[in-house]
Amino acid sequence: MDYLLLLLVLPILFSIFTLVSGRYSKILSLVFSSIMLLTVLLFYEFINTNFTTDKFFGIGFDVGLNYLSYPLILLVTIVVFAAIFYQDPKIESSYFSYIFFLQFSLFGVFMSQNLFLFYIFWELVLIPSYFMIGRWGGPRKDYTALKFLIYTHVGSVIMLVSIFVLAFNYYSLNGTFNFDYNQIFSAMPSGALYYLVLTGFFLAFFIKLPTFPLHTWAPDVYVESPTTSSMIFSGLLSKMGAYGIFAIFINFKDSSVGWLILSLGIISLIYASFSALAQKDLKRMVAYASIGHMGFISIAAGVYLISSSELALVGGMFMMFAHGLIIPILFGTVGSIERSTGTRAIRDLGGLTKMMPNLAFLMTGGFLASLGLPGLAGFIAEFSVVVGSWQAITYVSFLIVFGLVLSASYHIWALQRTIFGPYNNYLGKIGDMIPREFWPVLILFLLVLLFGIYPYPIYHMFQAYMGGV
Amino acid sequence: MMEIIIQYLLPSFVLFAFGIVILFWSFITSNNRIFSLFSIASGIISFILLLLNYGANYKYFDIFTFDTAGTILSLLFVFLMVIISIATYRFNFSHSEIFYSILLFSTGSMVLAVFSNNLISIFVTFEASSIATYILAAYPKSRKSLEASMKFFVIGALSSAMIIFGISFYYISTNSFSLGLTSNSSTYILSLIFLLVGFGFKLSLFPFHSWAIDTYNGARSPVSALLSTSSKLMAFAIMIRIFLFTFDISFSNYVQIFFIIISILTMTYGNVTALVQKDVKRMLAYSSVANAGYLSLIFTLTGENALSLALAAILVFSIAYILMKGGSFITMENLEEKGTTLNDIAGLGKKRPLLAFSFTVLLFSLAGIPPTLGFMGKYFLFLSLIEGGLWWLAIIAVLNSAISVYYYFRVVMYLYWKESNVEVEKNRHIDYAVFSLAILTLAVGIVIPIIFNSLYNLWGGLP
Repeated sequence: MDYLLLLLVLPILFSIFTLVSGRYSKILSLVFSSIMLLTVLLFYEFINTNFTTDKFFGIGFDVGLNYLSYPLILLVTIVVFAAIFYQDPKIESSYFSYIFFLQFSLFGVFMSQNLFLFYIFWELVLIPSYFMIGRWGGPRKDYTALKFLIYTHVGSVIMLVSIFVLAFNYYSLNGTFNFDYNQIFSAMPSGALYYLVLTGFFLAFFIKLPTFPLHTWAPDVYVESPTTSSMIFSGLLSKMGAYGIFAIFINFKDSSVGWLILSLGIISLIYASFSALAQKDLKRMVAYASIGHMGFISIAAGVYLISSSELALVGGMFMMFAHGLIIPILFGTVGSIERSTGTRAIRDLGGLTKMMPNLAFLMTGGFLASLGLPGLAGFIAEFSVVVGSWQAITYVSFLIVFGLVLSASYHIWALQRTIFGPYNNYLGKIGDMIPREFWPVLILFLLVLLFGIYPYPIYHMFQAYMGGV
Repeated sequence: MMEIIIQYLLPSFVLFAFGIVILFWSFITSNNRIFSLFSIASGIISFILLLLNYGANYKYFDIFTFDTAGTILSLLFVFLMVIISIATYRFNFSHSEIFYSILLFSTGSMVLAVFSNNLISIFVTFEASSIATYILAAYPKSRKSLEASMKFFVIGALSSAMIIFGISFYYISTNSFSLGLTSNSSTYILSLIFLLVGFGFKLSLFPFHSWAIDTYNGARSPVSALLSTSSKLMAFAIMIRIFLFTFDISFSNYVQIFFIIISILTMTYGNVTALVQKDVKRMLAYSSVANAGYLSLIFTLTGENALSLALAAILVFSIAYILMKGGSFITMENLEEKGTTLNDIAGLGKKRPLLAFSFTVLLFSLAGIPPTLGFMGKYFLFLSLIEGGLWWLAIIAVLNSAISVYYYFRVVMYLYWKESNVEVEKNRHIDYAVFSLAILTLAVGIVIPIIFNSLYNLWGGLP
C-alpha cells in the first residue's frame, strides 16, 4: 500500500518545517505530533499491508505494518507527543526538528521488512540521538554522547557483517540475494560463521536493550539528557533492541542461546535492582529501574527459545509497550521535582506530598506501575513472563521473583524517602507540577491504567502476531 | 588509428592547452579570478569530452586502455579540479597563474595515467603528474608548505627510483614493458617488490606513509585535497592494473598475504593515530592513510566472483572518497588563516551554518553512516571481502570503521555545541563548493544501489 509511505514522509516534513519555523516551532511541533497521533490511529486499517519496490541485489524499499510493529509505532507517537507536550525549558527550537527526525528513523526501524533497510534506519537513529544528547545534555554531555555513539555503533557494524554473511549464505544456497526477515534466516550457516552471525545480532540488540554487561551507556544517557530527551530515549531507544530481539533474534531457535539470554536477563534484573537501591540520585535510580525492566525482555525471549512458551513471549512484548508508557512517567515526575526543588538527590527530598500533591499522586502511580502492581499495565507483562517461564524453567523462575521483590523494595523505599515522611524544610516553599508537566504525565498514567485493566487491544495484537509467526 | 586515439586523448590535451593559455594570459593580467574561470571552463569541456567517451573500451596497442573504469576515475579527477578552482576563486596570491596551470597539467597527466597499460607509459604519465604536484604542494611558498613540498619531493624521487628499478627488473625477466606477462625468474619477484614499494609510497600504505601526514598537513588545503584524493586514486588505479591483472596470476598467494598484513596495519595505524589528533587537518591526513588501507583491501582478494564485485565496489568507494575527502580538505581552506585545531572550528555551526552542515554530511560519509555514499562504498567493499571468504578481515575492517566514528563525531561535536570566539571569514565560493559535494554524497548514495549492476566489468585491462 502506498499509504504506508505517508508514515515515513510526514515526520520528515515535520522535521523540516520545525527547523525553519524558528520561535513558532514549540507550538507547531505540538500540533504536528497530534496530527501524527491521529494518523497512526487511522493506520490501524493498514495492519498487515506492505509496500515494495523493485529489488536490486535483493534490496528494495520494503516497508510494512504488522501486529508487532503497529503497537510500537503507536507507542513512539504517544511518547513523542507526551515528550513534546512536556517541553523542558532547557531545549531550544531546533530540538524539535531532531525529535521528528528520530521519529522518522524509529518508524523506519519498526516498519522495514528487509535487513538492509533495517540496518540503514537503525544507524540513522544515531544521528538525531547524538545531537539531542550532545547539544542539550548536562555537564558531561560530550563524554556521554561519544560513549553512546561508540557503544551502539560498534554493536551495529558487527551486525552488518552478520547480515552480509547471512546474505551470502543465502546466495550460495539459492543463487539470489534476499534480505527478507522471513527468508534470510533459512540460510543459517554452520560452524564458526554461525557464532559470528549470532554475535553480531546479539551485540547490536543487547547493547541497545540494554542488558547487564553492555548497559553502561544507558544510565549516563538517561541522566545527562534533559527530561524530554530522557522520556524519549528511555521509552523508545530501548524498544529498538526489544523489537530486534522479538522480530529477528528469536529466529535463531537455539536453546543454549536461550539459556544465555535468560541468565543475562535475570542478572540484569537483579543487578539493576541492587544498583538502584544504592543510588543517591533519583534520576539515576529511575535509569536503573529502566534497565531492570528490560531484563524481562531478555527473560521472555530466552524462555521462548528454551520452551517455545508463547505466553512468556507475548508477556515480553507487552512489557515493551507497558515500559514505554511507564518510564516516561517516572522521568517526567523526576524532572518536575528537579525543576521545583532544584535537586535530584534523594536525601535532600522528603515529604513532598505536602507541597506537591499532584506530583505525589502521579509519582506514586508511576512507581507502583513500575514495580508491577496489579491493575496497572506493568503487572500484566510481568505476570505473563513469570507464569510463562514457570513452564520452561520451573525453579529458576524463583530468581525472577526475587528480582521482582528487590525491584518493589527500591521503588517503595525511594517513594518513602522522597514524597512521604517528614517534609524537608530546607526546601522552603515550592510549587506543584505546572500544567505543561502535569497533563502529559497524566495522559500517560491514564493509558497505563487503561491497559492495566483492559490490556486486550494491545495484548491481542501481540497474540495475533505470534499466531502469524 | 590516429583519428580514433585523438578522441580519447583530447580530454587531457584540452587541460594541457588551457594550462599553456593561462601561462600566456598572465602577460596580460594577473587577476586570479580570470585564471580560475579558465580552469573551470577547461574542466567543464574536458568533463563533457570524457562523458562522450563513456562506455568505450578501446585498446591502443598495449600502451593505453581506454576503459570505462578509467573514464569514471578521470571524470572524478576533472570534477574535483573544477571544485578546487571554484573554491580558490578568491585566492589572492602572487603568480596564481602558476597554481592554475600546474593544476591543469597535473590533472591532465592523471587522466592519462589511469588509462596507461604499459610500464613505460605508466611511468611517464605518473611522473608527469607527480612532478606537477611537488610544485603545487609548495605553492604559496610559506615556510610550512615549502617544508611539505620538500619532504614530498624527496620521498617522491625515492619512490620514482624504486619504480624505475622495478620496471627494469620486469624488463629483464620478461623482455617487454607490456603488462600481463609472467616469468619464473627471481628478478620477476624483485620487480614485484620494487614496484610495490614505489607505488606504496604514493598510496601512503603503512610503512611508507609518514611523508603523507606532513605533506597533507603542510600544503595548502585545496592542494591537500588533490594530493590525498586524485593523486592517490591515480596510483591506486595503476596498482590495480599492475598487481591484480599482472602479478596476481603467478604470485597470488604471496601478494594476498602481503596485502592482508599491509592493509590491516595501514587501517589500524591510520585510525588509531587519528584518534589522538587535536588538529582537524592532521586528523584528516591520518584518516586518509586509514582509507588507503580500505582501498588496498582489494588486493587481498582472489577468485573471480569476489574480484569482479570488488572491482565494481572500488569504483563506488573512489567516488565516495573523492567527494568526502576532497570536500573535507576544501572546508579546511576556509579556516586555514586562523588555524585548524578543534578549538578553532568550534561553533562553526552558528557562524557558518551551510558550511558546517555540508562538512557534517561529509564527516558522516567518512564515518560510514548510512545512507551516505561513504557507507555504500564501504558496504560493497566489505561485501566483496565476505564473498571472497575473508570474513575475519571484514570484521577487522568494520571494527576499524567503528573506531573512526569517534574522531569524526568529535569534530561534529565541536562544530555544533562548543563555543569559541575565533572569527571565521565568510567565503561564499567555498560554501558552494563544499555544499555541492555534500549534496552529491547524499544523492549518489541513495542512487548507487540501483545503478550498481552497471558498474560490473568496467575494467578493460583484464587479461
